[in-house]
Amino acid sequence: MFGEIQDKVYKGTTTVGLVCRDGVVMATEKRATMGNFIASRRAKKIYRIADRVAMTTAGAVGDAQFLARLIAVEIKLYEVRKEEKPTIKAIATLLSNILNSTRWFPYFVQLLVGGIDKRGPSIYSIDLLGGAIEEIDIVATGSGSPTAYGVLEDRYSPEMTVDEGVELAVRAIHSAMRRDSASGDGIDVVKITEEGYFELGREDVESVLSKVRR
Amino acid sequence: MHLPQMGYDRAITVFSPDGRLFQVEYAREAVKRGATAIGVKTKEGVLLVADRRVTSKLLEPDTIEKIFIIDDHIGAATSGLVADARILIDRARLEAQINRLTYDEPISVKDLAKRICDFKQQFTQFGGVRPFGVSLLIAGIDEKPRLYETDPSGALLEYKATAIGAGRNVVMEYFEKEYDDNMSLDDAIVKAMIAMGKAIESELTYDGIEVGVIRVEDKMFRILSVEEVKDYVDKANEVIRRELGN
Repeated sequence: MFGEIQDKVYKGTTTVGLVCRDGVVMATEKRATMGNFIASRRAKKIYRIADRVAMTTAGAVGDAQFLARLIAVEIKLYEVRKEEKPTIKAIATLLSNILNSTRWFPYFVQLLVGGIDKRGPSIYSIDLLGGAIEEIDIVATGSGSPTAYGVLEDRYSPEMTVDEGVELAVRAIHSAMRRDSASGDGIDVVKITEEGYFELGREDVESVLSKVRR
Repeated sequence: MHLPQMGYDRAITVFSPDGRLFQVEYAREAVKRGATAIGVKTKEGVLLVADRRVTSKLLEPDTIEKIFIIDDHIGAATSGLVADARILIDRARLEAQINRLTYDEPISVKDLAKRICDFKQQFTQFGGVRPFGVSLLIAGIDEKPRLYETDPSGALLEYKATAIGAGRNVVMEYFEKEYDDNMSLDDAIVKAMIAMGKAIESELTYDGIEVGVIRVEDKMFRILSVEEVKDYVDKANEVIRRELGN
């Protein structure tokens, strides 16, 4: 049974996360597949769950959307009750507990939660059973992740700024899209720094891509 | 068979022969003894002002919370039993988020007020519990600025300006004369402070008062810092000084 589940979660996406000197970069492509059918070319896989926190999702869309809604609301409750913002670790732990509580009927997702808190930038990856790992440098999930990792491992440095990180993230997703049929149709990029949460517009992504393309 | 009135105090679920629920009325008395809180609605937004005077120098003033953020676009002020109020505020916060979870949209102020009222009402109808000794002023903006008052019975009323707690009558009397549909939010804040001064029969101090404001431009409910409150308090104190001197 778990072999099947692993397949379901592994497929159909590329997402990447990079921890940079001054913030984090998270990026995904936009293709949603049902087997060989391309169900959407504009699928949203990055959710803003708090002021300076993003979550990327790979796996079942319904599960991912519900969890994004739920965690956003839980974060809001935390902020309004405690009058301070939760750390990324706290958010990852919350999600981890929720995912583990449904261990025998799991949410088919592989999540990345990243952003800036009072301790600095960080990214956590969380699997469908709630296993949460702090990714101190780079991470990629989904069917395109092997290709993405190749690019990230080659060019990443912890001293990178978020803008350098954006270029590397775009390179990684772009390469994954070239070799993974389940990934494609465009790139969404988010960079999060002390200054704020920035979703890159189409022109910005295009200008990075023009450097990357052959 | 004629039972004396006292017999009807015992259980909340019992009506008196003349159709009253005494526990609810006694709960209202508890609110009348509470610290004053004022709410005023204008075209520019809604404000809440609460009396936060501290009885002892040894108390940390920060722990006295009279005005609470419920969600981005809604705030509330409480009067009456402090512990009861905390339960209601947390319930309001929960209801606001459940609405976001269910519908992916912010709850309307009226809806939120109704849910709190429905919650309060349960404690007036089912046995073994007592009503909340709390009234709430709920201020927020959905399409328009809104101000609601809830009482221990669970009754809901929408107001242009209102007050709860010990100073209710004094404040309402003031606003019957002074309320103006077209006044600015800044003017309304000063007026609310003047009314508070009349209610507590003294000038205001910068940290003896708590002010929460939500403006139409950004629809974010905020509690003002002591710095931001200074100008308004100074203006209000000029008037209060004059009026009390007479």
